[in-house]
Amino acid sequence: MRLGKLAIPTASIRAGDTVRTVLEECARADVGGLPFVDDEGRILGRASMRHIMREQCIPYDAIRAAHLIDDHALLPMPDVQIAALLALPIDPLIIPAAPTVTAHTPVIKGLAIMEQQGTNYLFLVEDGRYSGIVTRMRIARRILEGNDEHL
Amino acid sequence: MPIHNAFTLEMGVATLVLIAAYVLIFSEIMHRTSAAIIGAVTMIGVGMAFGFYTQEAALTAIDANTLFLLAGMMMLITLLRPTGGFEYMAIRIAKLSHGDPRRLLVYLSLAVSVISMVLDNVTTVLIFAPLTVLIARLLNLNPLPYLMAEAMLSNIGGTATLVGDPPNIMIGSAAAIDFLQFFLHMGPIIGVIWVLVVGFLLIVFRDLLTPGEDRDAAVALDESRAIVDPSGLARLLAALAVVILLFFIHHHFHLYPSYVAFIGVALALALVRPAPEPLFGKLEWSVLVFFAGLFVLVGGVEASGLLALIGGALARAAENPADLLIAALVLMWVSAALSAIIDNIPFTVTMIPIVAGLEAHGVNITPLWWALAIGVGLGGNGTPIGATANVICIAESERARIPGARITTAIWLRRGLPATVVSLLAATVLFTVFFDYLQ
Repeated sequence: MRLGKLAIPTASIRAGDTVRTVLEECARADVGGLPFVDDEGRILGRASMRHIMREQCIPYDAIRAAHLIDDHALLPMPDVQIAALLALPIDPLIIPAAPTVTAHTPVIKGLAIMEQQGTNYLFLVEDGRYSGIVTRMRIARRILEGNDEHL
Repeated sequence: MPIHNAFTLEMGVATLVLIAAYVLIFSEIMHRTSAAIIGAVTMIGVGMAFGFYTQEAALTAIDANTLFLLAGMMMLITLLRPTGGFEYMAIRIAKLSHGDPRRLLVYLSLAVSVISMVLDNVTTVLIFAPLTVLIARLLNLNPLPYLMAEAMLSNIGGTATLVGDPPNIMIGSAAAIDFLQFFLHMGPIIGVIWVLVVGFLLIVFRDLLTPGEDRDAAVALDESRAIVDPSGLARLLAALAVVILLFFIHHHFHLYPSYVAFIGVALALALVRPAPEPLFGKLEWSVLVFFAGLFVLVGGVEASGLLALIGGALARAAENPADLLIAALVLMWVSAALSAIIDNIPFTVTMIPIVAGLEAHGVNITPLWWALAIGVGLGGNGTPIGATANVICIAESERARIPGARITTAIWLRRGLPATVVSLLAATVLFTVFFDYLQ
């Protein structure tokens, strides 16, 4: 099976877009991140929900000692106001690395790249342009469909 | 080694190589270890070409006792760190303060100081600093004074013992000073300085050390979850206890401190049987190679006869016993000033043969060793970049993203520099009063 059959079409992110745009599209398409592209549609990086939340919502010191914090702790979070967070430009939160594959990439290779890069999704590229996203969840669903096709 | 009464071509060549290597190291154009390796290789090559240095002499210049002591203590701390014992201690100490900001500062400072006396202070603050920010967050306190105190007091604590700070390891090894002797001479001075610096910080940060508005705030951290390997921790603490005990008596048995450290390592390896990769992969090899490179570099300068020439000139200033105190105090302050702005390791490695060489001129060099140790140990507190612990705590204050918690250079110079001057003034008074004891 090739990854081209499993791609989920999503919008891509461009310079000047906001955190709101990213979260809305991620929530709509049920994906963990989106490609950050230039005017020609070439992928320059990615906007990751995990990265946004880690950078903007969680104190670094709380991450290190998360297992030690009491459930009843009065832990004041950083001064994050949702409206301000959603209005933030996404540009400074872009991760330069963006793992890409093509429609012809075998699923096993895709899963291997996910493992290697520590990610749950890959961006599909055709003729140098973004064409969709393949997630681990999408692959899992395809496996559950019980198709006779080999992975 | 040839004794020259005048500056020679070989000395000039060796000096040029040393200066070029130190420029590379201090300018951070490249990693300091890379610079030290390039410098060492160049020094040996140039030394062989000009006939003042050999490969054999370069190998002899590497102080194996220092390197193995450092490596042994690194291995012990690498084994101890993942057990969660440090986190457990930090939380217990924080809870003992019952939310009192001043008591919390004293207790945390005491903890990092005591740990830094035996173990690497960089690792100590790497573990304590993020927990301190979290504890301050839970108590609605500004973490700034705590982070500054931890950086400064870990540096001060490390100055008290032979194994607390790499310069002390080098000084102790070169001067054949045993652990107990080092502790008995430096411990009381550092103890007084510790009290003064903590008192100073309590005063200058008094506005930030008032209880938070939220009276219900508590250190809501569960220390019982901190220890992930209780059995491993108990065994490693037993090995560490053996090491500490042997440090106090190693001179009676003619054991090198490095051998003592490796007795502990061997014991720990036998008791815990760790996987090799997590242990050996996490050792700071670059630090060990950096030290070896510096030893080779300075060994070349020493072989050229330059350090003996400098020693001869300095000996005239210190040969009169009445001038020895002044010479020691000058050495202390100069060492402190330089350590505040440059890496104190290369400075210490360079100064050791110079001080050692004075003995041949009839100078009583014992007080000079103490002065050097105090200077390089305390001087690092003078600036934000003076010690690695400072850099770590400043980075932690920036990551905290708590309004007013960021330790800026201006804040460090307004609070940390005066505290350093206070500590050096106290050291000067104590050094003068107890000069006979220090000889």
